[in-house]
Amino acid sequence: MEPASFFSELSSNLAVGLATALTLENLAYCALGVTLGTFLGALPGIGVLIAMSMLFPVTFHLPATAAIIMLGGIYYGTAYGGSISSILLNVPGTPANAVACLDGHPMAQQGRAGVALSMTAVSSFIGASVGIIIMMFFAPVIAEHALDFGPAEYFMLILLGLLAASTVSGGSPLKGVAMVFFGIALGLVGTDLNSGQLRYVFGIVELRDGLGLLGIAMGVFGVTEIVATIRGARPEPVDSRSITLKTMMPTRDDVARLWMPSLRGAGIGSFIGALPGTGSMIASFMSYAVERRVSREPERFGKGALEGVIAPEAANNAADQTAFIPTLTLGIPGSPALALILGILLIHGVNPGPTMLSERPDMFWGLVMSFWVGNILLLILNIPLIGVWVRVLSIPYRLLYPSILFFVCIGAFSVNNAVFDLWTVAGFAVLGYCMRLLGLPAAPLILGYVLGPMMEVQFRRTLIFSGGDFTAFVDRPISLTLLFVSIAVVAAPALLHLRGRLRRRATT
Amino acid sequence: MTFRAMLFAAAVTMAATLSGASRADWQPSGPITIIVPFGAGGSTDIFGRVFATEMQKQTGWTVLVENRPGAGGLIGQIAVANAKPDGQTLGLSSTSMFAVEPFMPDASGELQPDSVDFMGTLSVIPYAIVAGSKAPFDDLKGLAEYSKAKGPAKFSSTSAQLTLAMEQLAKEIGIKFVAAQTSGSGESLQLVAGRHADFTISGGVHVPFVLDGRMKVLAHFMDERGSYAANAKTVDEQGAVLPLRNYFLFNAPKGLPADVKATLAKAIDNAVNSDAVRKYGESIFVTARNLGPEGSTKDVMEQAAVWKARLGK
Repeated sequence: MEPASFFSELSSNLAVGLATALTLENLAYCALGVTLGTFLGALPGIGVLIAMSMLFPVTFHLPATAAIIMLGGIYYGTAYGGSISSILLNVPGTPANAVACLDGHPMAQQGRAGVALSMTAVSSFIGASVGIIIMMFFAPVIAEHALDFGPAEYFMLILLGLLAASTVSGGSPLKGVAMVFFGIALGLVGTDLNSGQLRYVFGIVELRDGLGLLGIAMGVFGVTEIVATIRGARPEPVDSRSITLKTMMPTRDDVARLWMPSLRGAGIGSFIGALPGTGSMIASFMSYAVERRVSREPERFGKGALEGVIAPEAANNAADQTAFIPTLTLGIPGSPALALILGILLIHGVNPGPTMLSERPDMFWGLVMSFWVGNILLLILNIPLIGVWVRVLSIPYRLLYPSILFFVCIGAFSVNNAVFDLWTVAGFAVLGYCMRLLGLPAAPLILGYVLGPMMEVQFRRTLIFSGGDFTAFVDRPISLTLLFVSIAVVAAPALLHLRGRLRRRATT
Repeated sequence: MTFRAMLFAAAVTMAATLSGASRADWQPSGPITIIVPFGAGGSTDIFGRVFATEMQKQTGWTVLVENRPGAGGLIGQIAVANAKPDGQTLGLSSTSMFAVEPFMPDASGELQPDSVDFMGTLSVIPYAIVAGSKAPFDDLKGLAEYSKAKGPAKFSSTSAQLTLAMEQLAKEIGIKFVAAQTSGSGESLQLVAGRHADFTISGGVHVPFVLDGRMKVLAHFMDERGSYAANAKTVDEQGAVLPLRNYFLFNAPKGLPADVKATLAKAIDNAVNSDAVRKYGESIFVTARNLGPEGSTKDVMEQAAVWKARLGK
């Protein structure tokens, strides 16, 4: 495409998007979404999945665009809110904010909580902005070529996502891979798409469509997180009066430290987020590691280095935005939260994928522009109105958590009006808690569950169309390239590990 | 006529009117729920909601649509079959649920053609066999020749019933194909648009793609030609027998009292023939048409007999 026509098309798309995002209704749902997101994100143990699933039933009654704008707002809003409890309580509001504890809480102990909070909000905004800009430019390009993605390409892309999810996450790769396989096994339950055969249904009618993403996600993430937080240590009470606009004013030195780490974080986050299977948590961990490596004073990290808070927060917000690229252009959700968003779109009869940008430009660009609106609102919510959220942290858990569990149950029930779904949540909550005690990560399980059946379908479709010829997977350039990237993803950590061992052996 | 006789005549007339009214004017004691066994936002759901709004307006009853998706519509339809026959639960799905599904090789047997009473139809489902506009064939005969020359054509199928229907048609015309199942018409159309698959059968989602020239209709998979592609011929016009005639089909639990059934059938007929429903039908290129309880039962049973014989069960 000519650059000139690309930009004129972009500007007309942005106009359409802005018109959609700024209708009173969509603006209101965006504001509601980001406010709820900040609120629920700030509460320890309430991650993005539980926040979204609580609002799930409400979205059935909204127009599709408003529903996605609101859920999107909750989704990226929790990343802002989550850093508040990381900094003040040393308890991550969401897993993606865990890194912010490392330097954020020491800053709070040094009396610099206000600066940490305000700089985090600004860097989150920078990260999100970079992510949105990348989405604006790259999503149309990917969508244009997305029809070239046939079954073989989809299979390779999903394979890459699953490998990345299980090996890059920082924990034990073996445990990650094991959980991916467990997730794939859970995904087998239900009706086989190709033959119509029932698998592992045991005569239970409700299982014919599988276990249901919402039940599993709410169980292993939501309820488990809440139970674990209740059981965990009581955080020290926060004096809400200590956070004032005055204490939030950064020094000149703070501002000087803001830009480069934020932009580096945003870059890393945008890249990681756009890959399927990785998420904002991995983005924040990687960004922290990079920041410590490039720093001239790595010894400051862990003792209240501002860069150690703002870079990962920029990264996770950027990743949250770019994660929409594979979801909306290819229909492949990059993370469990986006799998829920995908589910909502499907319920509303919108088919995310190559045709979405051309079929529903109002929705796609409306969503993109609502991200801008939402992030500006978040900046307001998180700097002038920060006191509200600090006070939220002092709500007693004995009131808060039962009411959240109550909403979770309503949410789980109302999707299909089926009691069976409540039992699914309960069963997976028990499983999730056991996994937590054993140190097994839940995110690869969810991704295995979501992507496994997709992978199987694409695998078999490739072979059906090729007449059983396996070279169909490697005789097209895109799929061959993706295969090489997958091999690199697996081989790189192993090689690094081996090099480290050799080096250690050489020194001893 | 004496005054007394006049009074008597008036009383008799009034009594007759009253009793007549009480027989025809059954009233539901609560809301009427139409169970749509597919997801919200799908074609059945949207059409069903247009219909429900109109029925509510005409009768004054509260008419709700409830989505009970799962197992390709089986879960919701079983719920209708097991509901209390008090006239307050109706189902809206498609002919193939009752005429094909029960005879599929791995059917559970929980749903049979006679598990429910049929109450009428909303319209025919506007199926068409479509291919990308650059495909080197324009009709079924062309597709058959292509599949003989180039190896089996790639069929991206949206349901197992449609794969069976396509097999039936292919036998008659001599099309060789391999079928890969997709999750719905959206995905099928993408595979066809990206030329990863050669053709699909779509129930209406394809219309905008045909109108803007990205796809073409090889055959209208119903009795008449859809006006959005009036040049393409129907399956019958191309010398084959239409293997499946799918309607949006109203049904109710068995054992409705006769007066309840009559009142509901009348209410359904009035709503289907309303301007609002007709206008919505035109927007998706179908003609609203109610076969009524007898007509739709006859149609389902005839098609069921054919499919039972075909599938040998």
